[in-house]
Amino acid sequence: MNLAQVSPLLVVLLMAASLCILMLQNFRLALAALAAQYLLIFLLITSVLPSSLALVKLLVGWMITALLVSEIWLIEKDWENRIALSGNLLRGGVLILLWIVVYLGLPLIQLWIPVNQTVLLGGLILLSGGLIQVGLSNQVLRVSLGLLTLFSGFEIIYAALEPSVLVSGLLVLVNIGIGLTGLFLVIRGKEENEVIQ
Amino acid sequence: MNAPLIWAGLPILFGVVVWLLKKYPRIQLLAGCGLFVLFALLAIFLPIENPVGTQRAGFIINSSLNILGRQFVLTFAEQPMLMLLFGFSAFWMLGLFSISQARRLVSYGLVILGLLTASLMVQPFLYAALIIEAAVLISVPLLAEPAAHNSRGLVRFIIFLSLAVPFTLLAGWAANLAEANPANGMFQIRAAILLALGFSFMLGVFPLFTWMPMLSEETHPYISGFLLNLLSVVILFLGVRFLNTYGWLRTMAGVPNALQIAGGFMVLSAGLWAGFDRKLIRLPAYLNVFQNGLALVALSLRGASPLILFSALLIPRLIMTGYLCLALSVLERKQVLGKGAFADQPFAAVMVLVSIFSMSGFPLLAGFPSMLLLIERLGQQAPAILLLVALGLIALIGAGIRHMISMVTPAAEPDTQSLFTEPASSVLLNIYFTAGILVCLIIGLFPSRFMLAAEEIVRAFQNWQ
Repeated sequence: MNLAQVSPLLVVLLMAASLCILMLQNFRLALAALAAQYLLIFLLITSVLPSSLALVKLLVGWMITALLVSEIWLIEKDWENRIALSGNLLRGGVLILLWIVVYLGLPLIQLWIPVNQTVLLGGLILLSGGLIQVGLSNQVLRVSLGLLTLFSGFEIIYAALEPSVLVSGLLVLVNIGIGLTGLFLVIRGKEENEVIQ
Repeated sequence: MNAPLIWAGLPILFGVVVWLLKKYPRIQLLAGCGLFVLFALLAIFLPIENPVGTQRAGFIINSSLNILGRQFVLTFAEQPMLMLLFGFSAFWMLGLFSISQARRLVSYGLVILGLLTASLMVQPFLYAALIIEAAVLISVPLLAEPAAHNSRGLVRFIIFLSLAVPFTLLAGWAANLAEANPANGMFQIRAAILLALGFSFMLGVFPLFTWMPMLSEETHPYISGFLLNLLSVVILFLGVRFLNTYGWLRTMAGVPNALQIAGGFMVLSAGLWAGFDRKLIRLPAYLNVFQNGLALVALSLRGASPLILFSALLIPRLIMTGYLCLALSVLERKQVLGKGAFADQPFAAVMVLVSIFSMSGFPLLAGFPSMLLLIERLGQQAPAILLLVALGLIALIGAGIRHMISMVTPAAEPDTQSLFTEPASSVLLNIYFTAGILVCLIIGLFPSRFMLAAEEIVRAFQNWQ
């Protein structure tokens, strides 16, 4: 069984991972979904990039996840927020609706961005997942994970358009930067609260 | 030795070294300011690709540097632009001698300026978006105020600038494709739309500028003012470079109109927001959007040298924003932002007002000559956009009058505690503000000298007709 045959399955799994990151209230499970998402991205991206370059993206993704895991005891409370079940369902609903729109508009988008349909769909699913996460949350941690998801989606599409080493390297730096910035802002917020108390 | 290493590599390296000196704030500040001045002077006196020194002991500064198969190129023609950026930063850093709270700007400023300069050098310049994003992420610790309990503006700043990256990278790819297939208009339209989206996020085109006033309110005015202006100017230069390289984009039907509409609405909305917002601390953000809008309108004009007009708008903007942010920092420190400012800090209050009126093109002030030129050309070419710009200008003048009334009004309850604990306004600061007002008047009264400088700054963009 080659990668082209399992690609649609990868896209479905990417949808599941993205939805988990958006809706799960348990930060540990959300991080597990993030790690799984990076593995799925690696598998999908190997169809357009050399394995060594794709592996860099996986390693960096897991590095960022490990970074967040290392401070989990400090930051997990910032993930478990005041969102009611209805709010969570709304986010999930909006995301699924957006995916339907993306799926329907796929042929049109493919005219603009001429890459393999499965790769494009995978990228757009993550892009829309990240966009919803970023747009519907005020929490720094959720925004950071949203941006990481968004950039992952973009990287999938852009890798198919321009497989450049420098762009990949710079995108890796940007990903690490977003992870570190999110962590920095969450920890700074914690320290301020401690000072106030 | 090569130019990208000197003006991008060394500032980043020295920025890190200066950051390590944080235990010695005085030395850190002196070293940082000295380096900014040094790089500005090097931009004036060290010619690229020309022999320096004697024939025996001379050397030549190469214009390009290869990294991972990509080139960073800085030519002799781009040196005036570098001089503007480093000179502006050096001028801004001098103000740090009187604002201890913002001193961390000196080390971060070197790194950020190095990265932004690198973004102007990289070829193909679609990579610039990623380097700008790196500069944005590095600036987060600088913008995260230790005492701020709210970082919504900062988070939005990261989101909006990050959203620009995918669009700009895709625009670069689409532009290359459009250039390879000049007969296919679809490719050109696609590149133009992607580029417009990318630059809209980066420049804060209406209505995407909400993060700017929030950021100004959350962070120290001197830090946010520096970053907003430096970022905007570099992004504008990038846009000019893009249009200069891709001639088909510049001459494409609809592009000048799009620039005019975007710019006109930016000027109008920023003017109105400034007029209705009571918080003086948010003003630098509105002025930044206002000036970005004017720059876009200037770029859209046909005929004799719209680029000179574009750079003529930049010089008074950078000088007056520097003084405005310094004056706001003084007023904020003394807790007299608004009522009672005039009685407590007359020099700083006058500086704020002069800056606002100068940027709204008040006669005899620094912004007047370039504003007069812009209005004259707009009247000939786009009267509808002139109406938007005029309304924006009137609203900004209204904001100036409103803040003037507020500053002249005595404070209801003078904060006696702060009067006793805070030191009196320093003589040095008063001299600095007086010099600022004089500079503003000199530029307004004798604009010919600075018009020559404006011409030099855009010398690099030779394809522009």
